[in-house]
Amino acid sequence: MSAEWNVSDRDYELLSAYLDGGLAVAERQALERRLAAEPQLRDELAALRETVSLLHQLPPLKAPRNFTLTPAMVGQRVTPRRGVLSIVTSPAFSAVTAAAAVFVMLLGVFLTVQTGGMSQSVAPIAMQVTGAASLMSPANTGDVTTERSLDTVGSTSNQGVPLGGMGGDAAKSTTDAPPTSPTPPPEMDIATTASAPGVLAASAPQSQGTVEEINAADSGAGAGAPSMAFAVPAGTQAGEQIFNTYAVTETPEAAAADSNFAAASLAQPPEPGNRQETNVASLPTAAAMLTLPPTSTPLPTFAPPTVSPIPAVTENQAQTNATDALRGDGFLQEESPAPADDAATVVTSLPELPVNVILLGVGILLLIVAGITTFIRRRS
Amino acid sequence: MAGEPENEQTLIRQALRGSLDAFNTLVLAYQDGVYSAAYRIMGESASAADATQETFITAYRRLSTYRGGSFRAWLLRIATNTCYDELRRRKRRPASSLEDLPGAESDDGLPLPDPGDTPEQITQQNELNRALEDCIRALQADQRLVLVMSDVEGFSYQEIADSAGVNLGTVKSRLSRARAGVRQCMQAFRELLPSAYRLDSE
Repeated sequence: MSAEWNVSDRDYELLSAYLDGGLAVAERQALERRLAAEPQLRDELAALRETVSLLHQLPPLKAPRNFTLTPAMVGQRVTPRRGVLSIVTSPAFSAVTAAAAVFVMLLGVFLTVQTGGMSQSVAPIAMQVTGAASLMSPANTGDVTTERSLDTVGSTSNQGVPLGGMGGDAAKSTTDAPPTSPTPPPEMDIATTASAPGVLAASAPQSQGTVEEINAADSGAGAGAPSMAFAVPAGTQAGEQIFNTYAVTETPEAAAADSNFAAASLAQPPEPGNRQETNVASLPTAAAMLTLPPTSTPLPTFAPPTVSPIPAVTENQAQTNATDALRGDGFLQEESPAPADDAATVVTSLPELPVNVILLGVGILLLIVAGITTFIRRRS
Repeated sequence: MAGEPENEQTLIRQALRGSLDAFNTLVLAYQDGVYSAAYRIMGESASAADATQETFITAYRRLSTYRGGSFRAWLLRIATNTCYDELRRRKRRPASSLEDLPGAESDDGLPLPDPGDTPEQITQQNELNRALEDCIRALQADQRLVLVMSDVEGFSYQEIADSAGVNLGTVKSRLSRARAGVRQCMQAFRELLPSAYRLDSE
């Protein structure tokens, strides 16, 4: 074969495509006519075909070493992803969050059902004792004849779970009035554990303390005189929880004691030491007041708590007022705005939300968190 | 070419579930093929080894994008893409070492095939293949890539166009020039050889 190179680039491209069957019918027929007429083109096609077949038969080379992967090679981008993000985006976290969401929402539904039954079953008892009582619903407080309604504001995390159990305990102590401090319901521990890894954690001890507080108030009042205290959770979206303690007592004195007590414990700083102090100080006062003979005469009706937003700063004021009230005669008169009344009014006036709404809200929030973390995990 | 393992799909499923051992079985089955393509495209062994390793790491990470079909073809697409990216990177940043230049005879012993022919045939075939490898390596990188993909690895024009990000016309003309280059190169090689070595009988 001659080494001459006198085939144009264009012709070479045609030959190359012809070899691969890449020419249109018209092009192919035109080329085949030329191939029949031009031996040089024919020779070039043969040489090209041979070259391509040589390339086709080229055997694979032997790899100079093994290219198997080590965990480090493929794990390098996985292992550094430790820390908060990896925990938050772990499947376990999403699962726990979702489970907590379902639990909280179920609890909300459960409370919705139970609340209906409770306000009907407890109200008659309260009626016997005091003439009227209403629970949970602020709208009902207007109908009550003798009632002291007082909201305890506790600043805790948005953990609504313990409060559900609290309602039940309070309901029980209304009928029995046992001076025992109920242990926190088991659901609370579960909920605390469930939300621990997440943003909702952090104040489990605090809420526990609040539960005990209210229980203490409850039992203190219940020991001396027929009274009842219901802890009703209400709250704001920002994670603040409002404990509404509805104290229904037979005597205004006891009511005052309850109010003062609750007001005092409300305003306490979250430190356990301080709380203990206040409780110890107020309990004897309440006991002393409860020694007064209970009267069955109709008592002046207290105005239902006004609902108006108050700034958080007034908590200090409330504490001062409550302490003053405790030091004073301890009687509340509806005509004269006693300091404790101020405190009570101030404390009472936070907006109230039904517990089930809050629980459902928290559940939805948890579901959203679970969804977001799942989404992040999928993306990464 | 390495034969496809009987239980290839099983191994792929296991690898998808995170079994590195299963994937490494596939690596051992295909590393020669991937390395060969990488070597012929890159033109020298060090870059070829890097590209081969990178190919298998990429393949493991993207295993979920494998949609059945020839696993070898899927691997080779990743390999040629890896090589192509590296070549483009070098184009922007010209080679700094002689070893990176095509045609540099710095390869520590070109790995040879292991056929079961007679020693004389082996020698002949080895000589021919070595000449062919040299001719391929002498091509421009763009042409080399297209030639190896088409004539050595058997990809279609369209696959090459997709892989290299060029149109079909460019693939055709690059392939044509590359074949012409190898044909001329081999012509020169044969004229240096005794006629017994020539494959084409005159």
